[in-house]
Amino acid sequence: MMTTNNNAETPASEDAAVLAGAAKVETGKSLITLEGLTKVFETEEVETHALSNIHLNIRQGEWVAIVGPSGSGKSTLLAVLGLLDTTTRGTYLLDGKSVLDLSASDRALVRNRHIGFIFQSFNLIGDLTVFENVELPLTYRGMPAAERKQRVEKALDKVGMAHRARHMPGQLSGGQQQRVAVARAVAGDPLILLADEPTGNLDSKNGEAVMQLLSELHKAGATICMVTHDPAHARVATRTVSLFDGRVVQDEQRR
Amino acid sequence: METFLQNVRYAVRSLRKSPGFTLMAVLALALGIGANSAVFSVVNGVLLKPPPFAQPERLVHLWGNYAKANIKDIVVSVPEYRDYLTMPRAFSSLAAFDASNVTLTGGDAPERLQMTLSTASLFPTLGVAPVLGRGFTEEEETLGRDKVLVLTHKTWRTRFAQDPGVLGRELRLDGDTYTVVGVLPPGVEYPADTDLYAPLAPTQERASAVSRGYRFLSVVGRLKPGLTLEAAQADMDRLGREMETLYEEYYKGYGWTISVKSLEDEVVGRVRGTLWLLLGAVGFVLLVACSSVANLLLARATARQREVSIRAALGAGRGQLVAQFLAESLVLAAAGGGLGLLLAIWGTDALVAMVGDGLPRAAAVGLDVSSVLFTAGLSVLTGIGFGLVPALQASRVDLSSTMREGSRGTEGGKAGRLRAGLVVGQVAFALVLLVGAGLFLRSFQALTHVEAGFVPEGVLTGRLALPATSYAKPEDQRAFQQELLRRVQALPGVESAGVTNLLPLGGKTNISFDVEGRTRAAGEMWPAVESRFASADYLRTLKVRLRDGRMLQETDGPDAAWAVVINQTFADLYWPKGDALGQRVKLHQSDAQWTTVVGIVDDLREWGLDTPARPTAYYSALQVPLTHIYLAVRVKAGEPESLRTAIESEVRALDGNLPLFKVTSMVRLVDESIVSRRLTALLMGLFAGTALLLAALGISGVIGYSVAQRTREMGIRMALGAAKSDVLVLVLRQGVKLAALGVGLGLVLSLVLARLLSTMLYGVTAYDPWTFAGVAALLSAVALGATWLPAHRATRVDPIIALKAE
Repeated sequence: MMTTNNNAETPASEDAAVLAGAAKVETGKSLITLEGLTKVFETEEVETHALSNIHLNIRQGEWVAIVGPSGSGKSTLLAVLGLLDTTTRGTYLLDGKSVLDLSASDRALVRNRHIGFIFQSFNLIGDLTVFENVELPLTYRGMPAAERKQRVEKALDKVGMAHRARHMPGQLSGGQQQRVAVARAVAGDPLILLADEPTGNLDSKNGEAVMQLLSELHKAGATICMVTHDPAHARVATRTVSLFDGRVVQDEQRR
Repeated sequence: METFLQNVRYAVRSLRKSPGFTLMAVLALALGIGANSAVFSVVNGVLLKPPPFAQPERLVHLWGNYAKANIKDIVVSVPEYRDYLTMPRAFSSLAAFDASNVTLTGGDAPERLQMTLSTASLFPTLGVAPVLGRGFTEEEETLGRDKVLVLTHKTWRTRFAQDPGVLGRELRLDGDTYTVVGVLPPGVEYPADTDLYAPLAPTQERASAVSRGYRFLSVVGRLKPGLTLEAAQADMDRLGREMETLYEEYYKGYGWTISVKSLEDEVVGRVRGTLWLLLGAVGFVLLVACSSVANLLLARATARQREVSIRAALGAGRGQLVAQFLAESLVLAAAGGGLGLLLAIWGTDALVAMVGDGLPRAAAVGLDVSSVLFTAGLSVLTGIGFGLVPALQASRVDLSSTMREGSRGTEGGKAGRLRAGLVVGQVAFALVLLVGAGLFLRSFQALTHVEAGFVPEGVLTGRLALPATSYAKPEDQRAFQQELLRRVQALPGVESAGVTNLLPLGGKTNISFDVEGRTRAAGEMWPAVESRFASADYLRTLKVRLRDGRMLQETDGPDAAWAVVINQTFADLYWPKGDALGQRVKLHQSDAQWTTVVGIVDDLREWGLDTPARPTAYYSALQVPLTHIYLAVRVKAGEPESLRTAIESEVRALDGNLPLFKVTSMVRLVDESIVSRRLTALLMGLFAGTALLLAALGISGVIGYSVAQRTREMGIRMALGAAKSDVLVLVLRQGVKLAALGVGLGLVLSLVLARLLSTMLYGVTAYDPWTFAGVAALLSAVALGATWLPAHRATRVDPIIALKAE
C-alpha cells in the first residue's frame, strides 16, 4: 500500500524503487499532484512561460481531458506528466512520490512501469511487428518471455488486434495502428494512461472507435489523462481542464 | 542473453530494411578487416608463430667479422668450426652446415634438389627429432660413410607420398647412391628450401689447418639454459681474442670478431620491419573504414531519433538504447568480418604469391585458427569501436519530440561536430598513408632508375651444378663449359652467351688477394675483392661497358697467362693514378697464379640495386673452371623465354643427367631483387588508395547530409537573391575547411611517423618535400571533387519547393 505523503528527505532513486514495486493504489486516491508547476523556455532575449503555476490533482479512476488552443501548453503539460520533459519550478508527486528530481534512468524506470503513452501519430516502430511493438516496454522491464507473451496477447485481445499480431505497422490502417498503440500502453498495467490527441490522425469513424476503446478501459478502472482539441471527445471524459497561455483557466468536473 | 539475441534479431531486420547503408558499411568494414587479416596472417606465419624447433629462443647463428675491412657475417671454415666446438662454454651444442645443389637421377628426367650437408649435431641442436627413422651419427661425418639421407617432410610427402617404407630406399644424387635413413617433422626446412640432408664429410684438405681461410660453413648453436645472448657474445669475444693469438696470420690486426645473433633475427630480421610497418599501415585503413561507418551510423542515428525517442518514452534506459545500437554495429562488424575473412583468404595467397621467394617461412603463412580468431576479435572490437560513439550519441534523445506530430530527426550541433571530426580524422589518416605510399613509391622509382651497369632486357639465365663424381677434373669442367657455350651460341636467335659463378645482384664471394710489388704493413688487412669467374662473352652478353683495355677472350685459357678484368671501383681504389692496366694480382686460392689486369669495365651492382658497387674482379672461367654454373644467354630479338626449350635440349644432349634449373629471365631476377620494396610500395599504395576513397566518400557524405539538412536555408538564401555561385561557394567552403583541417593534422602526424621509415627508404629522405606537397595537393583536390557533387546539388534547390518543404 502506498502512502500519499511525500517525504522530501527520501532519495530520488529510492522513490523510484518504491514506485517501481508499487501495487495498485486505492480507488479515488490522489494519483498525480502538481503544485505550482512552471515551465519556462529561456532564450537570450525572451522568456516564454509554457506552463505557469499549475496546480492539479488527478485521482485514481479519473478521465481528465486537457483542452485549450494551440500553444496553450497542453502537450507540454502531458510531456511533464509523462516525465518526458522537465520543469523549471514546482512539485510533481506521482502516486505520492516526488518524481521531478529523479535521475534519467529512474525516470525511464517510472515511465516503463507506471505510465502508458498513446500518441497522436501512434509512434509504433516500423521495423517491429505488432506483437513486438506491444512487447517492447515489457522487454525493457526485463519481464520473462512467457509472461510477456501472455500479457501481449491479452492486451491485443483487449483492443481486438490479436489476429494482426504478426503484421508490421505499415500493413495496418491508422485506426488499427492506434489500437495497437493503446494495447502497448495498457500491456504493462500502468497507473495512468497519457493520451496526446489520440484521435488527431484518424478519420471520424476510427476516432470514435478509439474513443470507445478508451471508454471501455476507463470503465475497467483505468486512469486517463488526455489532450484533445475536439470538444465532443473532451465531453466523454469525466473532467475537463482548460489551459490558456500555460495556465489552468477552468477545471470542470462532470460526474 | 535473451535480450542480446532479441537486439541482434531486431538489428538484422533493421539493417535489411536499409540495404544501401548496410552494403556500404559492410563493404568498408570487409575491406578494412580483410586487409588487416591478410597482413596479420603473413605477420603471424613469419614473425609470431614459433618455428618448429624446441625452445627456439635459445638458437643462435655464429658469424665471423673482419671489422677493420668492414666485412661482416662471414661463414666459417672447418678448422674454425672445430675451434668453436672446443673453446666456448656458452653452447650446449653447435652444428655446421652447407647448402648445396645436387642432381637426382633415375626418374623420367634429372632433377635438381637442394641438399644441406650438415654435422650430425644439426637436428639435436635445432631440437627436432625425425618422425621416421633416425638422424645422422658422428661416424657418418666421414667420406665413404656419408651416403645417407634424411628427407624433409615436404620431400617425403611430394616425392614418396608419405610412404612409411621409404627408409632404406636408395636415391642417385650426383652419381652417388644414398640411402634414406630418416624423415623430419613437417615445417623443418632449415636452411630455407632444403629438400634433403646428408652428413657433412669434409675432405682431408678442407679439414686440415691449411684450409683455415676456406670458409663455406654456416654455424648454429643452442645456448645453454639460462644463458643470455650477451653472455654468449662475451664468451665468443674471448674466443676471438684467443684465435688472434693462436693464428696471427689469419686474424691479428684485422679486427676479427665472432658475432652471436639470434637465429630468429637471422631468418626473419630483414622482413620484420616491413611486415610491422604494413600491419601498422593496414591498421590505419581500418581506422579510416571505422570512421566511415561511424559517420554513416551517426547520420542514421539522426534519422532514427524519433524511433529512439519512442523507445525511451516507453521506458528504455540509456544502457538499453546503447545496447540496441551496439547490436547493429556488431551485426555489421560480423558481416564485414565474414566477408573480410573471404577477402583475407584470397589476399593472403596473393601476398605470398607476390613476394615469392622473398618471404622467409612463406610455407607457414596461411589463414589458420589464430588468423580466424584475430579476424573475429578484430570484428568485435571494430564493432564496438565504430558503434559506441554513435550509440551514445543516439541514446541522448529529446524525449518531448515524441509528442510532436511529424517531428523529424535533425542533427544537433554535437553530432554535426562529431561527424565533421570523423571526416577530419579520415583525411588525416589517409594523408599519413599517402605520404608513406609516396615515399615508398619514390624509393622504388629511385631503385628502378639505378645505373645497374648491365642491360637485363633480352637475357635468359639458368643454373647448372656439375657433380664431382663425373666432373672431378678441371679439364672435364672446362670442356663441358666450352661445349655448352658452343652449342648455345650456335642456336638460332642467340646473340651471345656466357657463364659465370654468380650473376649480378646474386650475392658475395669475397676473396683476399695480393698485389704484386706491394707488401702489407704489420697489422694491415689483406685486400679482398668480389671475385667472379666468367667466360669470354659473359660481360658482353650483359652489355657491360668496357672503359679501358680489353674484355676476357677465348685465348685466356689454361695455358695462357692469367688475365682479369676489374671494375672501375676496384681500379680507383687500388690504382688511383689510373695505372691499373698491366698490374698483377693473385687470389688467395690454392691453385691461383699471378694474374694481369687486362681491362676495366663499368661498375655492376653485384650485391643488389640498393648496394653500391664494391671492388670486383672478373677472372677467366677457362683458367678457373666452374662446377656451379650460371648461364646467361642474350637473344637477338623477342622474349628470352622463347629460347628455354632449345637451351634445355642442348644441355640434355650434352649430359642427360644434368638438369638446367632456375631458368628465368634476367629482368625477372632484377624484379625479384627488389620484390619486397615493390610489394611495400604496392601495398602502401593500395592501402592509401582505399583510405583516400573512403575519405572522399566521407567528405561527400558529410557535406551531402549537411546540404540535405540545410535545404530550407538554401531556399531562403536563394529567395533573398543569392546566386547559384554563392550557394556553391558556401558549400565548397565547408568541405574545404574540413579537408584543410584533415590535411594539416595529417601532415603533422606524417612528420612524426615518417622518421620510422627512414631506414627503409632508398634515394629519398623521410621528409621529402615533393612527396609531402604532392600528397597534400592530391588529397585537397580529391576533397574538393568530393565536395563538388553535393555543392552542385545545393545550387539546384528550388526556393519555392524548399520553403514549402517544412
